[in-house]
Amino acid sequence: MKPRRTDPMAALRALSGSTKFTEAELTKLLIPPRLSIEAIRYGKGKFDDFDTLAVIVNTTLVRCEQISGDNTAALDVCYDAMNALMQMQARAVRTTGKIGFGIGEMDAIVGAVDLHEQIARESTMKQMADALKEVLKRLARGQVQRRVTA
Amino acid sequence: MANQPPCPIKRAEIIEALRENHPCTANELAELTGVTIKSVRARLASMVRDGIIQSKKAPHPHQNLLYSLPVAGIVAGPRQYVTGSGTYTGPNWAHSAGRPGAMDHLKHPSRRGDALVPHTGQMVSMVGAR
Repeated sequence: MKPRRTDPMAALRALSGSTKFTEAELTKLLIPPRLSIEAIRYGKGKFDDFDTLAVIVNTTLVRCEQISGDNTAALDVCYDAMNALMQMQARAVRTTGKIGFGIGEMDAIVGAVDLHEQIARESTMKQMADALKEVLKRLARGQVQRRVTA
Repeated sequence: MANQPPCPIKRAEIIEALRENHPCTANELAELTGVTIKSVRARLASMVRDGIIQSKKAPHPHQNLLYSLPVAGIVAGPRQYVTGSGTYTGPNWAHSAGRPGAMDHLKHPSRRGDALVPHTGQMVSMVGAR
């Protein structure tokens, strides 16, 4: 009889799916967006910094969609940050060539990064990983905001 | 009682079609899925009876019923939505949102100044990738 194929890691995977991040993992996860904000704030922002913030805001939006309850306020925080990012992108690509904050844009993005931090603290690793996968899926199928004029 | 032949269209196929084109009529669903209208009607009737999809009258008289998914069905994947069983995977977290009103934040638009902006789920694209 053919032996049944078993997954020796199944139990560990189930555990990691329902485990929250440790403090060390959270630090690793949460420091890059803060560093990107600082870099942009001091005029040293690169496109990579923009991409870091875009991924964070996108992931936060997807998690806010998934969490049931009245999340309108949380979604609005994400929309504000997205509008700010779109303005920054338009300026960088069409005029200045540099990533920089305009009026009120840093506040909007810091708000979304704070929200991301709260959500990451209360979510399991699998929930965050699934949100990131969903972001990549939407980007791959072109579900992106239309560029604004600078 | 004689065994009846299985219905040629599955619930998941109808839900998948409705997720992308809702609301739509039975005729439109038959065109989308490539199955006979009779089979589609039979499947739709059982799904409406079980509360999986909703039917409502078309805005104009002499038009067919319009079928649509409740919000929870649009968010959850078709297979999990239909069966509610099987292996519990990550995307199934949305399944817990089945209670009425739980996903209203996706249903109602966001107020921006004087305008109401509907939720689209669009992402911010990267710059560095270009």
